[in-house]
Amino acid sequence: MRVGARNLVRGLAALALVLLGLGVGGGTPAFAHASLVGSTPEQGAVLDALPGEVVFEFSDDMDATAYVVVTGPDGASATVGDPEVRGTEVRQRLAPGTAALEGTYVMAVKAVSVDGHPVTGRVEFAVGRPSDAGSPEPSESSSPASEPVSAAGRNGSSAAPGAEIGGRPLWVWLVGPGCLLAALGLWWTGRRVSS
Amino acid sequence: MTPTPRRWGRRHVLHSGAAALGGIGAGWTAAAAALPDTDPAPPTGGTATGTSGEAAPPLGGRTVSFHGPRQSGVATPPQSHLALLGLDLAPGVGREGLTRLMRLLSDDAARLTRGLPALADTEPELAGRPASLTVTFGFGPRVMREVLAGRPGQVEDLPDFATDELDEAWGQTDVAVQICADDPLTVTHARRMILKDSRAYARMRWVQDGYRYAQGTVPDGTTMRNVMGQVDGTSNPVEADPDFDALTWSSEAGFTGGTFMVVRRIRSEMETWDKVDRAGREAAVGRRLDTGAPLTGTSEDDVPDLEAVDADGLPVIDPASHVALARSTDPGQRIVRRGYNYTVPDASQPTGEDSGLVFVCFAADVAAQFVPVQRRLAQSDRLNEWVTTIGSAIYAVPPGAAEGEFVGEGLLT
Repeated sequence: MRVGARNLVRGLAALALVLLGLGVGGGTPAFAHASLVGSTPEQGAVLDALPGEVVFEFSDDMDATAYVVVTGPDGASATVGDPEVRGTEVRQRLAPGTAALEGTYVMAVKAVSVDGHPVTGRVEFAVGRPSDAGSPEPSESSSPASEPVSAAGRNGSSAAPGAEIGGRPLWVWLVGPGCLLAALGLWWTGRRVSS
Repeated sequence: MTPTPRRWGRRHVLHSGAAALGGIGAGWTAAAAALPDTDPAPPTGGTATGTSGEAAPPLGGRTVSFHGPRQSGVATPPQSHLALLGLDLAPGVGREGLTRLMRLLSDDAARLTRGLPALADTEPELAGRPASLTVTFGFGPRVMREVLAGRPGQVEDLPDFATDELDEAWGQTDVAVQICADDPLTVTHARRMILKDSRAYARMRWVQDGYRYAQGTVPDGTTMRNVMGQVDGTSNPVEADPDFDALTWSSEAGFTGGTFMVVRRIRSEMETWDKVDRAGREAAVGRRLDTGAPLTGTSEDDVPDLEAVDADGLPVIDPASHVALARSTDPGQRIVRRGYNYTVPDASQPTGEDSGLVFVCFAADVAAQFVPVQRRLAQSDRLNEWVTTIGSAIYAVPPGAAEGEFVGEGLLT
């Protein structure tokens, strides 16, 4: 009986942890996201001159309609024409860099994989030298930023009063784990009492 | 095995408490995830009687007038259930036969929409709950061209659209009868009477059944959701709009008060749609799934800002998204959408069913209002990845009939 009760409690606790670990709250199946896997120039690269084009490399073939913005140190667009999509690559021509400004350039892309998954990405590189000491941030390492397209919109909305996850107030999500923690505490206490 | 009272008490109280709390914790979290969102907006309106405590009269008694200068079922707020019948005239049926058919069917519709049995109604009890029944008739291009040659209201076949994968089983027919009501049994009975009385003149090719929210499920006027979960039908012209009449009703001499109906059967590719996360779904449409608000707005009725860019200068609403392509700066490129969801068994699908939208729309000038929009969508709508049009048809919808007249009388006589 003692063993049975203890196993029951352990089982419940384990089950609860498994459920939490499975992300029951999120309700999100595992999606096969397309992602940005590389770029030319690479994140953080310092070049002698502005290249004639920039290239984003994705993990999947991309739909022909994509959007690229390349912004120079002065905030002006450095692109010429529309981006060209070839398989997993999105290429964008840049304005002839005869008198290219020195400093940090930002190249950003918004594209959709052929099976409909949107990807956005942002890569910083510099011509001559970075615009200032604080940028690009070293913490960004070499892996380019890549996130679902509407993440910005969602972040914007979650800043609204009363933070929510999955359309519910945060406290709703905290009750379950709180109960579980209390349960574990009780079980631990019970174990000590019994031994 | 019998524990001492002291040990039993402390340990079991603690363990029972732990088990109970653990159960509550797991259950609460699972329930929070599984239960439907609580709607912040409580249902409003709806009851016909203003006195509290008094039950609203049943919806079954509501009627929509069949007679008038325009046919009902066009500007009528969509009822919950649809049966759209596609009929082909029997060989040899010309103007005389079509006249007899329309006289018969108009008489059926006039009676049934009042809640009265049709002539020789074998189930008269089923006629007693009209539930806002409307019956709307349309003639296909062949009928207009051959049977009603030279008459007003001529209609061209729809052009081919690149993404269409049309199945003739859902194709153009000679006649369409749109039956709508708030009760499925009412629809079923009207449909049977119409088909029975058509038998001598026409063959049924298809029936497209459809449904929206049931009456009372959501407040009146709520935009419906389609089977893909999207709010579908935002910024639809309504009768109160100043340009509704011009958008909807023909002013052609002899066809004044008539209109044109486009029917498109649009399959939702649910298997692949299932693999798209919310961000992908919202980006494809350009609207949020929860509220239907454009990605640049907060409420469904906000006008999408197609020029908005994010911090990097990238468009917030994808210019190839459904909302970006479906909207036009030309206010004349608008139509009255009156679609219904469909779900039917289909052994060829992995789940054994096929679902989508019976897209129905009305326009005074289909070539000017509908075709350019559909061309844009066919060319680059992101949503095309998950929707396939498998049926397409167009009909001239004659003006309404006065009491004692039949629909199409002005064209047929």
